[in-house]
Amino acid sequence: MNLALIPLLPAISFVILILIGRRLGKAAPLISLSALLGSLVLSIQLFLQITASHGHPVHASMVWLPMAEQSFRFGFLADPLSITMCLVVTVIGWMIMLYSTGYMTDDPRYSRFFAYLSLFFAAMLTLVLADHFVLLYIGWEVVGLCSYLLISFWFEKPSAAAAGKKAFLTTRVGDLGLLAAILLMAKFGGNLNFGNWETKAQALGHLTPLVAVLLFWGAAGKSAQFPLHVWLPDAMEGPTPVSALIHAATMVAAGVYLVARCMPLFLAEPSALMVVATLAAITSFFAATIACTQTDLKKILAYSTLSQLGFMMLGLASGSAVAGMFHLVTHAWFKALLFLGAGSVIHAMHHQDTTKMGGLLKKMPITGATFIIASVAMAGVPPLSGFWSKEEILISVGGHLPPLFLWVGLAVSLMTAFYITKTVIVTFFGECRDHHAHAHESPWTMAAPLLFLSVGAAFVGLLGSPFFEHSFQHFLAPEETGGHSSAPAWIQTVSVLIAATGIGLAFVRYQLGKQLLPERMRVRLRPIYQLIDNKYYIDEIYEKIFIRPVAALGRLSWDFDAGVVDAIVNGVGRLTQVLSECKRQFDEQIVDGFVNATAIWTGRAGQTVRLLQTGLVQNYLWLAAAGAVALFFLIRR
Amino acid sequence: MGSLILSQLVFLPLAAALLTLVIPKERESWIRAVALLATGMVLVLATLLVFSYRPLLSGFQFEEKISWIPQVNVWYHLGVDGISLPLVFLTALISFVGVIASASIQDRLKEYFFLYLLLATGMMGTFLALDLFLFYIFWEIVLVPMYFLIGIWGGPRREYAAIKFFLYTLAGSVFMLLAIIACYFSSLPHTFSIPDLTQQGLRLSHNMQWAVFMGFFLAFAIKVPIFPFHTWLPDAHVEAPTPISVILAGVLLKMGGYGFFRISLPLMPGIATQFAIVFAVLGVINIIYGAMVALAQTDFKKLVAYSSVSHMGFVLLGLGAMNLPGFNGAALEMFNHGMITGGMFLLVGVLYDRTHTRNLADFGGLGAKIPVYSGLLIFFSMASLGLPALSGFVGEFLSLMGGFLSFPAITLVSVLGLVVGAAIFLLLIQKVLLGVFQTKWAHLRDINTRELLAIVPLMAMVLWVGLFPRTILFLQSTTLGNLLRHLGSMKGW
Repeated sequence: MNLALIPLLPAISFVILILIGRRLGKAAPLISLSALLGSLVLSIQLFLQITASHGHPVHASMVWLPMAEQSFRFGFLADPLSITMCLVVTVIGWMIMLYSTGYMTDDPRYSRFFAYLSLFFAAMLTLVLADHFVLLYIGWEVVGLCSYLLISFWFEKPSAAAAGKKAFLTTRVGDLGLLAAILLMAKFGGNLNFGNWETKAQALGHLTPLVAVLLFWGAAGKSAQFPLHVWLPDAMEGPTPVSALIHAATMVAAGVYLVARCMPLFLAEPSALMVVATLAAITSFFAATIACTQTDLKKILAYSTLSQLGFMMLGLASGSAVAGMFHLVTHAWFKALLFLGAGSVIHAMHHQDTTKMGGLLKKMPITGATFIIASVAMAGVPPLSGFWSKEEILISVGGHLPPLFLWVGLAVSLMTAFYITKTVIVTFFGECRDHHAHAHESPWTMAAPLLFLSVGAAFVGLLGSPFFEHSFQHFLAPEETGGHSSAPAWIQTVSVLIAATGIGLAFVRYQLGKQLLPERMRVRLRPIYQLIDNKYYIDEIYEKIFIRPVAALGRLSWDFDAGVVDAIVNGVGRLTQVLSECKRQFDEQIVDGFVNATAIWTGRAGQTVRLLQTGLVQNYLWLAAAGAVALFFLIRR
Repeated sequence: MGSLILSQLVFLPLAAALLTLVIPKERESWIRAVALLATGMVLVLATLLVFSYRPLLSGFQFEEKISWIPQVNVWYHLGVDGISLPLVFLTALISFVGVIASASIQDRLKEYFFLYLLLATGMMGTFLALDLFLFYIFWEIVLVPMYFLIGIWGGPRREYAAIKFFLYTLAGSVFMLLAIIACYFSSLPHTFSIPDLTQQGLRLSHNMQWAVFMGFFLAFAIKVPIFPFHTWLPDAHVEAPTPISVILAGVLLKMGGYGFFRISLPLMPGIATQFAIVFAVLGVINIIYGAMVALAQTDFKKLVAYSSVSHMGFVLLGLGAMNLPGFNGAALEMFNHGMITGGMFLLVGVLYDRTHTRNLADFGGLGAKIPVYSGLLIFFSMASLGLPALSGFVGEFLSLMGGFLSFPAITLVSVLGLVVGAAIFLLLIQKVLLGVFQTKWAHLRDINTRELLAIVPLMAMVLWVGLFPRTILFLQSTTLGNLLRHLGSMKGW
């Protein structure tokens, strides 16, 4: 029961807020905050219960679809994996919600914002606690809806309206993969409950890699992996707390969670993992290159999120659910912090163009300091959290995947350190480049979450470090010993050096203002820079090869419907009319004409014969005599 | 009330219709009250029926059987089972909601409600009749009031739409009549009874059975409607007044699907199983084609009408699956579509009553002005595009699952319809609610209490069935299972 309450409390909050939220006014967040606090406390309680029982899962279920022998029993399952997600969602979520009370304070749709957030939490917690693919799918789609509603929250802006639609449709393309995987598992894999993965994989047989890839396709939609990544940068149209919560820390990580959850299916067939690894590496690398060229504060963070999600997927692709999940957790902290810091800056500056920022550290010390902590954590500087999880992934990749993927991982680390340092420098150091700005520190509701999250961004990683005896890894997967031994020993050293290099290069380029490359090379590389700056033109390509053709096909179908199908129907109607007109003519002219003609001729005959009826006896006698004579001759002959 | 509950369901509206005839036409509120009361009582009775129905029993319940024309063995025979029960409840609810929505009708009220109530009788009778003769009568009764309701109270092209609807459907029913007569003469002793005919099977040659099957198929296909027999639907929907559109989408379209379940499948199981793949293919065509055409619409109502064509595809797909999830999905999708699209048409009406336009390009940014309406439109759009946790998803999912178990390749194609379906409704939301607010709608009022009253019951059902689909599935599963056994294809699921 307690288990069901975790998603139920925010759901109740949603119902209250959507019905009477407007009347509550500024008190609306109290409802959603207390509901989520309830979920948070329950999650902690469950976590303690699971730790005490050494990872023994808690489970509760009910019948959702009764159907002969194969009913769907939906349930909630709290095992180490899902409770980890639960904690990330509720703890970080609560902080972001608190932050939102300050950030959204002037918004006319204040209560609706918290209603949508509550619905998001209800769905997200359902997603992570589900023990059944269809229940997961339900949560999966509803978080998509919330993402849509919140991206388009400021729907008066056409760009926000378009971005919401794009996000929904792109993720739906991904969801088809998940749905197809569910259908395949229903047909061939026995049941749709989590667990019994080995039997499931056996029952699926040669279909296992297909199912795994389809699952990944679904995850790619949600976690914005190439080629379904296009929606996430646009999703930044939403309010910044939403970007932090949904499009950085939690919802976009759902894909990573799904793959981690279904890891046994992926492990059964290495070819599926290679697909994951390839797409993850592509996403991670190309997104990092784009992040280096962006100047919009939120866009930088968005591409950084893409790249980091790819990094997590790369960890998963190396066969280690723990590595991916570990980075998911640390990333949630520092990326949420980065977004909230960005939000704080945007709140103060009223724009998000980094070329017009600078020197904000002095004006906004809390925001600045926490943003720097998060940046350093993401850059992978020990002993902050990002270092440990990145380490874990690189080691696992080095141990289990071809060397190319390790090089990609290292390149991404280099670029990550570079672009985030660049962002910090242009935003918080130097002189302010916008002289109209009157930046100031944000209110406590916004500053407190920043401080809290910065503690986590700094230290959460330690849980998975040797200092705490890798307790995170042991909690999540007691049996997974990790591939530490088989990986090259130099990775650790190199990765620290690479982070330092990235930070150093950015420092030289942006703090000291020195060009890194000679003029001649820069000119040569100009087209490449253009290509990257335009995000490899992927949006434009999709517009050309998918969106326009589908729209054209729609118009074509409509023309066909009106011009052919309906025209035939109307034609048949018209034909019937013409035929009946012919019949009318036939009826009037011929059938009726014959009748009338008979009548007319009869009448005329009558008229003629009438002439004989004179009434004069003499005439009659004459006629009788003539008749007698005629008869006489006739008979004689 | 005892065992006559079904007759009451059928004839209460008729009695009320006759009552309206004796009310002076100036007493408009009396006429409205009579209609509301009658449909309200029908709704209560239908609810009672749902609760007193025993889902685990096979066969028909609450049967009433009286000899009517003994010379030709025609019986007045009513009965309800798991296939008709949800549709009976749907009809009762939609009829009631339609009366509330009829508040916008001001013209010739007396005739309107007379015809409306007559229509209610016809619809209810169609779902309850177990004698082909009686079924045919009710089926045809539906046509007449519908013709006048569209033709008199409709939009600018009402006469064209009404005639098209009437003739199209009538053309279909002629073939059905021939098929019914063939059924009659093939049986020994000659009977119109659906249960008897089901039991003894048609004593006809294979080819003759095909002919009979096709006769019924044409009638039902036009009603569903199945591509390419669907073009009457957008015209009828667009021209009909709001409450009548609600009934058209909510109930009339289900008569086709119901006919397949009630007559085509049980009477000609051999042909039906051979025909299964055709159903599935037609289903996919409906799903994709309907969605594609809807995508190009600029008229709010026409868009919803074409999306109905797409949704009906899921019914066909589930039907063609010939397995339990498929059948459950098809039957449930009929029920859900009635609620969802009914609600959608109510919303179209709400906006049209205020703005006198349905052109999507005229709207935009209304979300800021009419928040409650916006919430409702988003809700029903999400239900239409099959968002999980709302009822539309369950029906579609089960149909897809059933379809996939039988025809994996065909079903995978139809899954694409989900993306286009989402695109339709997201575009709709974007065009109506999002974007820059147009000042010409500065005086637009939000949805009022009366309109809310009509739409909230539908909304509640959509949410309830989405969260607890077993409520409906439980009612229909036994019957559908028996039908499958009769068809000889009770598979694992």
